Amino acid sequence: MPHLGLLLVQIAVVVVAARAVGLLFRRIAQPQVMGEMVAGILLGPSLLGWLAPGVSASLFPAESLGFLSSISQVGLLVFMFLVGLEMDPRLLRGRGYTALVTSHASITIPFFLGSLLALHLYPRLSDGSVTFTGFALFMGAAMSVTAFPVLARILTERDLLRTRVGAVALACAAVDDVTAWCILAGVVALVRAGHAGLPWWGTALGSAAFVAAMIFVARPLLARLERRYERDGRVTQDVLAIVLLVTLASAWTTEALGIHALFGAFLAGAVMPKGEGFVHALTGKLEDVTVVLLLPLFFAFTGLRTRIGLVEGAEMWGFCGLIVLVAVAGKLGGGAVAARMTGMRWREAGAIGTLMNTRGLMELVILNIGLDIGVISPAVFAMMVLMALATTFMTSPLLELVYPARLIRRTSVDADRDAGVDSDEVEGEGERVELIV
Amino acid sequence: MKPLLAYAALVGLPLAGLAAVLHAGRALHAPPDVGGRWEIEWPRRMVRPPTAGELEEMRFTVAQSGTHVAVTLFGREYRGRLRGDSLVVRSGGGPPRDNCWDAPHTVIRARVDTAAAPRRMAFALESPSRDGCEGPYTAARIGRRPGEEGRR
Repeated sequence: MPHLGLLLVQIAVVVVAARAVGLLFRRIAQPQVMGEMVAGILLGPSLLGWLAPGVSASLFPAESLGFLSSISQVGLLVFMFLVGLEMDPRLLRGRGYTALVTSHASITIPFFLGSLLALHLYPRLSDGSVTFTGFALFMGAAMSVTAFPVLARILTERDLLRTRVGAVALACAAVDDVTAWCILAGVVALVRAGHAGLPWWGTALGSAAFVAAMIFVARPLLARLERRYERDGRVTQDVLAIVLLVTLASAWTTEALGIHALFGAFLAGAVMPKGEGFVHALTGKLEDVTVVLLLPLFFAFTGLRTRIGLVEGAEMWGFCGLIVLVAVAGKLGGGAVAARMTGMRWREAGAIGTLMNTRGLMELVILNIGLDIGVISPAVFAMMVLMALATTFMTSPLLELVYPARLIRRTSVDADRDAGVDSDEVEGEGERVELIV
Repeated sequence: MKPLLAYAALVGLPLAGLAAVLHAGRALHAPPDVGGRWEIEWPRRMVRPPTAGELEEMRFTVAQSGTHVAVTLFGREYRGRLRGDSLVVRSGGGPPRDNCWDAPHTVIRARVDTAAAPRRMAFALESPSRDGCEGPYTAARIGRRPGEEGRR
């Protein structure tokens, strides 16, 4: 265990950097989380370690990183629980043909392009310990993800939640996130097959049985927590303890099954009761410490693992540019074309594609899993982190260009009426998510 | 019919493409895996076993991204390429320190034994500022990732 004093200093430095850079990014109309991600990179070998290697080595010595990693992983578990908690099935109902096709296309098109890119990158940037199938599926999954929380925040800030664009984008992002996590669980199981002590079919059957048990057994039982909340008028410490224990048990189970603890945390959040008051109260209990203290530690840990110096020379920067290009073409292009083909106007379709291209924090989570299980190399990790930053950074200015504020009509969303979800509920969803990011 | 066609084009075609890519990719080969923590083997001519401090100093890390390799030895980074089983890395500038392996503008030429388990390499040094340090040396991989050393 590292010296406690050093750990406290590390946490303080990370929190100060995250708040300062986050504030700076808010001033340039970027989400706070974007600044926090950049702050993590700045504290790593790519800037601090390069400018002041002595300071970096004494502030973040290699032997202390395991502990920092453990704390950040706990924070990430709670964050993934919150993401699952915010997943409201009502968002997906009745959004119609446009949302269905756009969400599916905005997964399959980038997934295909990501795997196509893998044909070029595998012999150059991977190694013999990784199969092509594992590498290609991971690249596809990493290209398909959309940062649901960041997207909801942008929609709220730009007053887009009550427009057709906002409603469709939110529904698509929800579908994308769930699908991407399911695909990633499969990829992790494939890559880790045999490593977790279970054969691949054991992982697959065990995971399917566990998900079914969470949906059909745990969810009805957990509904009692909401009734208790309604009776007490608040989330008591006992209820919170049960929620956290369910999350930890679920995370432990998925880790033991050979997929990742984060899937279990996400699943625990997804099967929690979805009453607005309960979700709001539970989120309020957990989010502040997670967002202000624990998530910046994850960004810092990610930054410490990101060695942009490995992306060296024209060839490597060429690969990096190609990754960004394919990511944007697949997600922005794929989403926009799908929305256009299903009847949206070009500007609306462009806005949908732009919003779907937001990868943010969810991409970093996926990339860290990829690096942990060894399916991507440190240089590919650095390139993909740069891609995540670039695609998230471009969202706000590109959206202003494609779908400027003057064009936004605050018309009610037909799909909301069809789904039986009024606009206030959709807006409430966004407000809750805004707190998370 | 039109919605069905649009769905088939936007979703079905990429899925078919994915299947084709996975099939085509089976024929591809990636460079041999050399990443992880390595330990230089104590020269046989030495009569005493290494101390704990010496043992730690004889360890180095290899960060591999395909054919691109970065070796960190004594805090100095060597960069280069892996071609087949032949690895050539070079260190940059900077002040020399008083041991064989930590000198500026040094070249390490290694041959990796990809059949050995754990993986091994034989290497030699070419340094403009070090005489008598050429080697040859041998090293064995002790873990693919930090913390795996105990599992060998």
